[in-house]
Amino acid sequence: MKNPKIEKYIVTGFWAVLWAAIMIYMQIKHSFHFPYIEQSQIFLFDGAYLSEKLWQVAGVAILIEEFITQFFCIPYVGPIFVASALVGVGLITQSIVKKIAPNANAPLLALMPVALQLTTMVDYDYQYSGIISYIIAVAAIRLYLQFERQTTKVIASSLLALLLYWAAGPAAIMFVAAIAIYELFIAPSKAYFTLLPMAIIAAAGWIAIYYLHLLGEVRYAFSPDLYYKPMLQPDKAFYYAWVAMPIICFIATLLRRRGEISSARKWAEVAAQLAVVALVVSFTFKDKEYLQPMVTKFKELDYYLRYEQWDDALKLAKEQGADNTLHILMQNIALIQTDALGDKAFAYTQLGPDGITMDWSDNNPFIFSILSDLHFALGNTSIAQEVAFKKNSESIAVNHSYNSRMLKRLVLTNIIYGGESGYDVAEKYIAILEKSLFYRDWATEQRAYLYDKTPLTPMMQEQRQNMHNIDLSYRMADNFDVLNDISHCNLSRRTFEHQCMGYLLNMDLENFYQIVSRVYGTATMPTLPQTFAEALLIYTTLNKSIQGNYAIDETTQKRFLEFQNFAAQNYNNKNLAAIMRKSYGETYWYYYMFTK
Amino acid sequence: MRKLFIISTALVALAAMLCGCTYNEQEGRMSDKPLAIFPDYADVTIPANIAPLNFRIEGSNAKAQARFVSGESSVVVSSSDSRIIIAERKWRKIVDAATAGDGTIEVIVSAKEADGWVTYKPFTINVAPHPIDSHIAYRLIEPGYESWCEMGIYQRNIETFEQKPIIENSAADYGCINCHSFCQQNPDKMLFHMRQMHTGTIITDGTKIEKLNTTTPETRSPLVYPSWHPSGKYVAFTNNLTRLINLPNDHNRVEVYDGASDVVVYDVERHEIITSRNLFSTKYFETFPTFSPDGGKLYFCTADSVAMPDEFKSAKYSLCAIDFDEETRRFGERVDTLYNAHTGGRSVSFPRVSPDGRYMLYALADYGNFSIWHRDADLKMIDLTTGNEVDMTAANSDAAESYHSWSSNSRWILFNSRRVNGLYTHAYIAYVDEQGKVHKPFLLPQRDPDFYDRFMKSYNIPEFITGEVELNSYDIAQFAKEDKGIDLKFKMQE
Repeated sequence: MKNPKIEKYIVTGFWAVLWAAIMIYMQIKHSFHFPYIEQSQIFLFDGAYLSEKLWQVAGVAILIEEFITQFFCIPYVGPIFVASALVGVGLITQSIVKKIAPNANAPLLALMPVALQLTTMVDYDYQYSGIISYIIAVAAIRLYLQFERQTTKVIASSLLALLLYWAAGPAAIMFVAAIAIYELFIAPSKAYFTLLPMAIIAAAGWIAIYYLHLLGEVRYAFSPDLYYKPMLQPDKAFYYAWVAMPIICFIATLLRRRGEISSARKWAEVAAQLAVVALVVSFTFKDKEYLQPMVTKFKELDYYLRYEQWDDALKLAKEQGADNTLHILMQNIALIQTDALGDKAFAYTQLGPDGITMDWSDNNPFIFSILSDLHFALGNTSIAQEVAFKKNSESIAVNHSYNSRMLKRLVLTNIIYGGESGYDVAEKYIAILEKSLFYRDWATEQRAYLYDKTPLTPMMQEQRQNMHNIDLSYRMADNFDVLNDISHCNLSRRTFEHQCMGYLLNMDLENFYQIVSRVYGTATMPTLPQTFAEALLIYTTLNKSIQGNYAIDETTQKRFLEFQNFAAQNYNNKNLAAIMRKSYGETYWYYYMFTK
Repeated sequence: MRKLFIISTALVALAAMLCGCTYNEQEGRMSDKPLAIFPDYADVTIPANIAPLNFRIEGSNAKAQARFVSGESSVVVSSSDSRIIIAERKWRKIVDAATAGDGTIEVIVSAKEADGWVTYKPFTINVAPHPIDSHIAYRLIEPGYESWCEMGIYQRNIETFEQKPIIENSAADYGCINCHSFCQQNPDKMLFHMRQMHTGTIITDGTKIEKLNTTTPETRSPLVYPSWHPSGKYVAFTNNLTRLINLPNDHNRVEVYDGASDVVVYDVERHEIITSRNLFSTKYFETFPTFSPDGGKLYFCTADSVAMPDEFKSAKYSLCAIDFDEETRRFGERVDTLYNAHTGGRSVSFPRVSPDGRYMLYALADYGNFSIWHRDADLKMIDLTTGNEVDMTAANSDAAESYHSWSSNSRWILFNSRRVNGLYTHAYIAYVDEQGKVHKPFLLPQRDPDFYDRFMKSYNIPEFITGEVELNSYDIAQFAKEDKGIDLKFKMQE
């Protein structure tokens, strides 16, 4: 390409296309990732909060990350940020390469840090302070290359190392490594001065750990682990981008004396390098759990639950099925919220009792927000609050911030608990939310309910009323007669439908019947939900004596007979389950007979 | 020269402006409304060596001013947002004046309201003649619910606002860290437990650190609730099975109970656990041991063994004592009862004797032993010289008061209370004068009066220490991670 102007247009166009491609990819494949991570931190417009953030290793990067992340609840902002950050890294890297080796013709070098970090951007354990620190560090490398006098280089490298360590954390090591390699090739006899910024970073890291107690472990001080969720160890591939930058500087210095080459050769080289980049990108997609469809589906369902889009959640569950019990639990929350659990549970995938009462005895915080949604839907304020509290504690530990979704839940549950203590705690959380941009209006609205200034909403009143029923549900295993004391409301219906469904999924018809026989006909269960009617027919067939009359429509009874007859006639057919699924897959009979 | 003149003039003008901001005392009409401040420092009694009692005017975000007057001395603090943050130098000046004078500081607060400045009725801060230990130690953890993410044991210089970690779980793979305890407020002689990760009890003596594996075939779990013998040669512990249950329809929300518990004593030199049948029985739940200051008695709480969790409300703990001979390591055969739960009807936890041996301080709740979750839990105190109960009304509130400790001079008590919002536990300090009168407590002061609004952790197990723990938290964590620990032996007294 002889005309530099056209070449410039092509290069600019290339980066623009790349930006658009990344943005579109993120929007199509990972748009739900961004609101998912947004919920686990809140940016507060508060002096003490800001100074606390800045007084950390990588404080500037963390502050920028949290400021930007708050906008991820707005569509497209997350993908735009990721595309801009990655292209920004590429452009600065290109500038570095061009500065060191003007005729390098090496787009591979500029694209490598982009390719190596593309998938990391949707790893929910990765913290965006990492990419921000990366940008700051490569910008510092580019700035450093402007200096030519030895004294200036010594002062600049030392000052930049110190500033970088504060602003961007261990990314400063990448900066020093890159300039050290560069200096070793440019002026080997004078390169020893780069030991000074190295020593500064080593000292700064040690002070941060040993004297300022800002970091708990050496790995956080001197490796990119700082940009990953504490308590976890990132995958090896996570480090490649950080190692890549010094290597890029090394290759650029090797290419610095390269002369002009022919246009044809130039394009051939570019094509070859782009092929390598494509290979690297495909390699980064391998074996990443966070890229699996089941994870993206989880994030999508999580979004629907958070924003109470129950129909969307059910549509997704219906169309794509559920891959695991967590998906089923989320689908069942939507069914509970639409008061359709008892009627339609088996119209959706069910894999057993874990899909309705997930075991959380290991205190894994990953599922706590979902559990809080479940128990809030059931009117179990106590558990909804407990797991919300634990999830928020996780955000405090991991992000040194609050979980907006769980903090809202804590406001509601504490208002529901009421009393001076409940209102005081709710007010504490409201005051925090009021310092955020996106939650302050909601928080201020809740102030009206504090200290009984305004009557509670019907939802809140029912939740308060239902605490009694939750207590009964805890005690009924010893004596089902406590159910005669139910305080009837819409939530009592949900509570005991959920209990019944738990027994049905566990194929425990005896305990299921114990509840139904006591609540059927009351305001808690005025009519029999469809699946309960189906279950009662099985219970009757198993020669159990049923007392009382249950209104089961004739169609269901007739269909049950047909089901029995068909199953009896085709008992030896190996494909019986598949054959019957078509006609009876949405019934409890099918679940009871064929689910292991 | 002209430049210099202009700069000097500007500097003088700036200084005058600054002085004007600080010392231009605002007075206006007297307010007929009572002054509400947070923390409530009105009429509290403080030691002379405490950090400044910064506070804010509740329900206001306007300009404010506070004048602190003691005798002839006075200082003025101005604020643009209702937070009265007193400079250390000014605070020392006024506290010193009070110490030299009648021991009182009058605080006159003015605030700018819509119709101009108003001045509130003054309140008093009393300065006690007795100093307080310079440091306290506490664990910071999210309140309750048996889970955690990030926690640590910290030391706070209460003469300033400086807080340093003794150990943080972020340096030790995020396990649980709990039950810190000091031998007679000595920062050099300390212990704490680590659970889940790098399990063991870390015990320090100066720069020497040991890690103990406190589970033995004869005990049911690692040891908890330590209390040092004054000689430093023994530590009493509880050996228990603790569980937590949710109470969905109860104002206490959560109940923590022991399914079983016994008391044992660890011999620091021989690495041996010793106990007696009176402390280690299946018929009773024995817990919360604490030695008398002379080391001759071991106090503990005990309740009839009941079926848990079904009967958790009927577990009521009495306060008892048994003799202990440090030379022979033998326990007495007779058990004395100081508070009888059968007749008193309530339940004792956390007994602590003042270092001068005069007072027994404990928490009393309706039932159980984990009083921090009981709104009905209050502090109680017995004068051991007379057996009479000391009036603790000034220290207690409607919310839970629980864990407590004594200063080394027996004049100050440090305790937990949930009175601010019913959930988060905060540290309060109260003065106990020579006549045994307990004065109104004050909340642990912070540099920013809004600190407690945004702080999401509880102050757990606040303990006085006479100075700073010198061991570096990183070194302690590294030791805990690398050391395998010493296995303990168990011996039952014949």
